[in-house]
Amino acid sequence: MDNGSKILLTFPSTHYALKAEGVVRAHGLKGRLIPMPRDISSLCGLALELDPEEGDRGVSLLLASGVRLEKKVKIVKQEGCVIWVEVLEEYM
Amino acid sequence: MIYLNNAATSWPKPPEVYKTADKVLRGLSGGAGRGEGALDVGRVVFEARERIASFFGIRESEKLIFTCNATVGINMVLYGLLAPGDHVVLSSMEHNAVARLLYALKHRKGIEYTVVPCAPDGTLDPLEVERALTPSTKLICLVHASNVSGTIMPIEAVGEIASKHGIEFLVDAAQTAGEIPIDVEACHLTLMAITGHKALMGPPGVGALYIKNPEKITPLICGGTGSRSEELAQPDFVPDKFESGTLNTPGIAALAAGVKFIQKFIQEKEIRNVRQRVQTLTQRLIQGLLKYPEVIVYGPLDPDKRTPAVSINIQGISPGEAAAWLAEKYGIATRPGLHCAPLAHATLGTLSTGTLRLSPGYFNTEEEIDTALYAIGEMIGVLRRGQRL
Repeated sequence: MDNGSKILLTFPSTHYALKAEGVVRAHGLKGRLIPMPRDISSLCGLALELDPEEGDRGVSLLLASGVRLEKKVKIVKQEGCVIWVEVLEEYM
Repeated sequence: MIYLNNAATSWPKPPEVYKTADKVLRGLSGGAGRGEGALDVGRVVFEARERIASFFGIRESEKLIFTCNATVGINMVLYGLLAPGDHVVLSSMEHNAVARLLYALKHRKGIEYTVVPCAPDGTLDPLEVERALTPSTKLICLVHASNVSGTIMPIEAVGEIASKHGIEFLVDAAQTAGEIPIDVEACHLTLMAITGHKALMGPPGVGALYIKNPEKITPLICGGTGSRSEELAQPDFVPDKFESGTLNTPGIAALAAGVKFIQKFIQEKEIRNVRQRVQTLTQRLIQGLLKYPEVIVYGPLDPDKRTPAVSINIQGISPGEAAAWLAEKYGIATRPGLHCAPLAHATLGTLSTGTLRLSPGYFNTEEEIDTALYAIGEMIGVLRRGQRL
């Protein structure tokens, strides 16, 4: 069961989400794609989950690679459920 | 069957193409960005887009839009780019995918266009394109190679002209994508329409459109994209802006498998593309045909200046009758008629008769070419003797 805080990055389209996953993994980050939690957005699509310490580096890498970002969000999970959501940055 | 109709649809396909279409259709559910199973489907589409984009030197793969075929891509560009009063320059070798559409747009939207005449072998002088430009010219539209005569057009030179004048440049690469290397940046292409079912060795019903400046094109088709679903406005980002409705994922994956096959071939054989193999067959065919004085071969004879679409006429027999005889007696598949390109036939002087087109492909053999030549020789022998076919 996932617990603790995570950084979620959201994107305008599936294309950018998939591209983002490839970019961060190519640079050794442990990002993974997850279905968009409904606590974050009503938008359909995918979000990239990163460990908090990799959030800033992940964003820098993605922006340098031409990936369009939508939001950077901090979430806290407890027993698999999102109990805290904080939008850290909006890009669009 | 000896299949010499690859300029229409390549056949057979590499085994990987069949396997991939089957695997995706059976193994993956859902549509990209649309619920359970969407991630795997999304990955298939993403990886196909990346592979095909890199094949054409497209750096931002999201600017490669999946379509049904080249015709749909061309419609998306012309409907989405042009406004009443805009002027378009095209060549006299264009397919109806462009010619009919511009004729319709002239009457529906008041679009003007100029057809630049080509030489009788289909070749185009790029300077004639520059001379045809007007202050209202918004687009130059050029087929990369004629589907009738195989004549290769000077897209690099025309691309420089378009770039110099700040005009959008659309290349219809239906006949060349997969056979002749194309780098969109090196050729200054701002738009390129391709289809999957010819030299890219994919299935019918899948193609792609490269749009360098997506902000200039209004989407022809609006609808669900699996993104920004709460908004009624069509997304303004690519590829979603131009990809409404569930994509043909098995077709897209199979097309990518076709491209992978070509890339593998290039790597293994250490030659630049599959063209060298097909060129050898084309040259053998043309040289064999030229031995018969009754045969007229259209288009350039130099294999470097043409694709494998070899159009001919045989004195004393119509293309339709010749095609039927070859099919019935020898099981040879060719294509007679106007090939949906009346402008090209008017240029070549064959509008009233059409031509018989023989188009070798990657999987043909030298023996098959020789059999076709033998069959044509036998047909000519019958005609010489004044016998009925």
